[in-house]
Amino acid sequence: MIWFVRQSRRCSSFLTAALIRRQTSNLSRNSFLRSVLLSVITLLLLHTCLVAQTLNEKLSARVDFVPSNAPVNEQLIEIAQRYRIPMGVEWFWEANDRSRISASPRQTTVIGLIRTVVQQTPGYTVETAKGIVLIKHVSFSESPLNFLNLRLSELKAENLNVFGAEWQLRVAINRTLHPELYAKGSNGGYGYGHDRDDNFDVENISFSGRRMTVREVLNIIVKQNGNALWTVEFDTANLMKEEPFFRQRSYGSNVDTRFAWRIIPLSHLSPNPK
Amino acid sequence: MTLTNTSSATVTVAAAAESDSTRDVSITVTYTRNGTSISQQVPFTVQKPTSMGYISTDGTGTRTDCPSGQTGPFKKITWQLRDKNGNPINYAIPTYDTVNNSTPNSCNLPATGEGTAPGLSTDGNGKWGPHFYGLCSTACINGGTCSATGTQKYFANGYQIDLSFSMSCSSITVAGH
Repeated sequence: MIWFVRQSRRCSSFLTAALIRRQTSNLSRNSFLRSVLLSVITLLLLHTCLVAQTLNEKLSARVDFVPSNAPVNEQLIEIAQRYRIPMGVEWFWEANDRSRISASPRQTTVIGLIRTVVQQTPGYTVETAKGIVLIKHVSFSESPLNFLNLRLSELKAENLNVFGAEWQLRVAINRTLHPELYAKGSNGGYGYGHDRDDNFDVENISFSGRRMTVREVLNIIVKQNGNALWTVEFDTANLMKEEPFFRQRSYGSNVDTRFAWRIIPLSHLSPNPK
Repeated sequence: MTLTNTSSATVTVAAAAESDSTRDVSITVTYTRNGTSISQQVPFTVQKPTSMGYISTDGTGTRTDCPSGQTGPFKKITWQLRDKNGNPINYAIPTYDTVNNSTPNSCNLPATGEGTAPGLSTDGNGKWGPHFYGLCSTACINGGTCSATGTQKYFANGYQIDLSFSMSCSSITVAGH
């Protein structure tokens, strides 16, 4: 979305300048009709600019970038950020995982680059669904021990930012797993650093439903925010101490009691004015 | 206080204790070239996260996202991380918080609420938020009433700051705000 906005700003700036020039020179003759006509043309061209930025077109773009020599899941994040690809990455690591793969220079498209990086680690697949690229493992992703498959009893979000949506997701997980504690009431809240350059504080996320999976909610958050990807790193050799799920890599959370995921910005922009 | 890399362009200063007052610590920086030296005193404050200063209330109302059969209020407050002298800590400090309820309470709340997960930081001005606070309870349906109290515990770079709160079906108050 951010990329769309930038492109649309470029398009609209160019087209607006052209429109102003034309309007100034023709003001005396049929100016009203001409303005309307030019406005329609402007909108049509602007629409063309926006439509050009679909996920498929991003994935079909020529590659001009080789990821660093980082672990595979980190390379995927680099690619997502480079080409502004909304992405979900489920990564299942082992203690001896040392896979560091350099992308083949023969790959000429972004999706080709993603597949090259992914396919050299056995068991992973690349899916494209509902505007997001999903990296999954054929065995572990559908496992009942993967908390991303947990179906949430009820979830409602209305004009939330990324942090609010994440918080609602955590509350819904608690309510689903421990109805004896939360069925009659819940409370709490969330905060975040005030001035941001990632648009994560833009309140543009709304959804509601029953029986949605955690994975589906993360996909919605990423898609609706428009400047994000999500990732979860699983340790399939260990379970959480207090929940019947694969343990996740901790990002400061106590993964014995809390679920851990990361939502990462695709790009950094100017801070939002407050 | 220890200084390392004292002959390089970047000197690392590690303080063992926070300042008693603002800018009460001074480092002498000496520039030497061709045998000629110039010294400059650089006063600064060793800051330890001590309080969450109230900045503003950014919104109140009734929640529209409670589960079926529940309702309750929300409030948004912006805080600022400060040291013991009330100075803002103008750095991105890793911060999270927990919500602990006194039980039993008439809002049917469990002992633990859902706070901010680790992984975030204050901004470069120490600001945090607007922090959302919310309550959903079956007790609030159909004009019902309830009340609950508790403590919101902030952990800023590991330092704990406690704020007391009270929640009812119509209002939320955190640290008196």
